[in-house]
Parts: sequence; C-alpha cells; structure tokens
Amino acid sequence: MITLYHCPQTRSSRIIWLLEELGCPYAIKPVTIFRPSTGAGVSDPANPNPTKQVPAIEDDGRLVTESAAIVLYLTDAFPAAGIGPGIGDPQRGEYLSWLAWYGAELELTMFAKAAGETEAAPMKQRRYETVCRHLLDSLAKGPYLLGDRFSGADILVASALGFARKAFPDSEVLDAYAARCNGRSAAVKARELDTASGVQRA
Amino acid sequence: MAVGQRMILWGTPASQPSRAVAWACLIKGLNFAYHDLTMRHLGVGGPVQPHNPSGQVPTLQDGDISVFEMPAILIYLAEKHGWSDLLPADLAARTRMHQYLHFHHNFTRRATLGLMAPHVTVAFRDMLVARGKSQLVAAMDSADKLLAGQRIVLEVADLIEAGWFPHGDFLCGAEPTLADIACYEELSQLTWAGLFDFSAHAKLSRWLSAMAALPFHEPAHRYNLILGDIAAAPNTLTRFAAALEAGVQALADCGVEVRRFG
Repeated sequence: MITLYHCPQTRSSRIIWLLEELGCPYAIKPVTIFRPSTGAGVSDPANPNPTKQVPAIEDDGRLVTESAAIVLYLTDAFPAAGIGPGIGDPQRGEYLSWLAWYGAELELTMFAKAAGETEAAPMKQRRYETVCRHLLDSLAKGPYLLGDRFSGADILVASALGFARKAFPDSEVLDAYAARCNGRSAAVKARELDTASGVQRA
Repeated sequence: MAVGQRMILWGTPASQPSRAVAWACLIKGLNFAYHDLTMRHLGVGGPVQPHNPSGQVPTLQDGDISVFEMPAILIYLAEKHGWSDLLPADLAARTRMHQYLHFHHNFTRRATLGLMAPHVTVAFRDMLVARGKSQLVAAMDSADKLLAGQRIVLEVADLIEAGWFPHGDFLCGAEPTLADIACYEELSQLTWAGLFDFSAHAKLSRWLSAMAALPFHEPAHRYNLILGDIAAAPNTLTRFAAALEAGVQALADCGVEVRRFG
C-alpha cells in the first residue's frame, strides 16, 4: 500500500487528489514541515524525505519525492486509471513536457508573480507572460492540457490555480479550467481529506 | 514522420541542458540533426517557438512530436529507444532517477544561475543591459559574485554528497543514469571554468572522474574546454564565440548534421 507523507494545504494535498483519481489503496501519514514563507512549523523526524518537505510517498519500500516525479510514478504504476499516457502513447512526450514544464517554469514564475518580483524585472515578466500564454493557448485547444484527456499534469496545474489564482491573469478560460478540474469528484473528496489525519482508503 | 527522417535537437553548446541531451544522444548513437541557436534566436518569436512555446533550448522535434524541458526530452528518448542502462530497469533506481530529474531544476541548476552565469555573461554585458536583464547584470557587477556563487554551489554540493550516491559511484546506484548526465552538466562546467573545487567532496570528486570516462565526453564538452578558466581571466566575446564554434564543430566531427542559425 502507498503511504503519503502529508501536511495539510501544501503540495501534498494534490497527491491525495491524484490517489483518489487512481482509486488505489493508500494511507496518509501526517507530518509537520517548516514553512519558509512564514517561518512557521518544524521539520518532522518521521518524514523520510531528506529535505523534510512534502509530498513524499513510500511504495513497497521505495521512497519517491518531488511532485512531478510522484505524478509520473503513480500514473505509470496505475495505468488502468487512464490519467497518464504511458510509454509508447503518442501523447507521452507531451505529457512528460507538461510535468517538467510545471516545475521548471510555471511554479517559478507563479511564485515570482505572487511575490511582486516580475514588475521590476523585465526578464521575469517576459517569462511569466510566456508561461501564461502557453497555458492559455493550450487550453484554447481543449478542456485539458492534453486536449480532451484529463491527466496528472492537470492535477499539478489546476492545484496551482487553486491556491494561487491571483498570480495568473483574469481569464474565463482559466477560471473554467480550474473549476472543471477542481470540481471532479476525486478533487472534492481530496479536499475533504486534506485536513484529516491518519486517513486510510483500503 | 517520414521514414528515415532524423529527429532534430535544437540547442546551443553554452546551455547545460542542451549539452546533456546531445551527450546522451551521442552515447547512445542516435541519428539526429542539431540546430544550433545563438542567444539572439532564443525566446518568443525565435525559430524554435513553433516547437516550444518559450522558444528555449533544448527542444526536440521528433516528426510531429515536440518535447521540451531537458528531463522530459531525456526520459522520452530513453523510453522510446529502450535505453535500459541510462533509464534503469530496476524500479527503485528508476524512481530515484525520476526524483533527481525533478529535483534538479530547482536545486542543482542554482549552481549555474548563481555562479556560472554571472561569470560567462560578462562578455555580453551591454546586450543584457539593453535587454533589461537587470538581475543578471547586478549579479555580474557584484564584487562578491565569486564568493556568493560559491556559497550556493557549496550548499548544492553538500546536499548531493550527503543525499545521493546510495550505493556506488553514481547518483542513483552503481551505473550512470540520465540523472548523472543532467547533474554533470551543471557541476563539471564549474571545474573547467575555475569557479569551484570539488576536492573536499569525496563522492562528487570520484563521480566527476567516473563521468569523464564515459564515451563522447570530449566532444560533448569541447565548448567548456575551449572556454576554459573564466575565474582567472574574465570571459570575452571573442573567447565565448570560439568556444561555441568549437562545441558545434565537435558535434559535426561526430557525424551529426549541424545547421547553424547564425
């Protein structure tokens, strides 16, 4: 069974959503983390992640950290759920690009925008605009990042929109996308579980 | 994709992620063409934008499929071509490798941004000022840039030394994987450039030597060899151009079809 090391309202919340989408057995192990943005919280010795951040999962003794790596690992491990194009799928390259792009581009520019760093730094502003354009152009082609197909990449991007919507431009397309993804039953269930502790789905 | 059509790698030898992809392709003997871009061709509106919305490199064009972001390209190629060495078949090692590749962009790459970039880009300071790259200009103008950058790299090196190399000389185990190639491009450049000495990190030092013994190491890093020590003698446009030219020529010497966007 998969164990998710979780702290409410953090990046691990979306992994609950992913696990609910996959329908696999899992347990949530609550841990505390130090939150650099506020200075609150303390690192938990029970957290196996060497950086003491979340998310981290354990599966049959294997530790996986980093959101995008966890998404890829789990969507590959549970292909029947159909939310991650597998090896050989024509959309595999696109899926891998979205997962890597999320961490390398979207998150960085989103936090820069939220911190007010983009206005005074033309390079960061351009990067932010490029990220937003890519997102909007892609969503103009279909309801999800991979077109008609919901995937683990949507969980990353839609969860970011869920907690940092103000960092993105006003857009009916983005609002509709966020509502479409975050309104899925698995997402709703995940939010209910987010603050609970010791939850186990068998 | 037409039968026999070569895939195209868009890159530049000065880009660590581009070098990582090119080196992996050389090691695995892939038939690919290399489209070399200079700085003025990068970004929105550049020739690679139809394949990558940010217009950046590396970008892979494989027939109708475009893949961008270095980890995505490496994983895509390894899966497509069955690189069971660089993409380990063992699930635990493979998982660790994926983990590293997603950890890399926010962590190890700070070595480039904090130390390498401010020393390389002094050669074209005026252009960066004109483009409004104020942070990079401030970093290169800082009297403290060497020590400040070295502090960042020390943090990176300490964490990798302590948290990776679980059993063996490589990041994820006894054999090199895509993670090693990605990481090597960030750290090794600092040694050629005279910017950081890893000798206090025993595992990293062994690893650097082991990686340097992999095939095609010299052509994949001829850019770095020609650029040389930029701590002792600051980079210049002439030197940078010569290093780029050498890096591209090295790929051509390996039989790669090169197209230059000069």
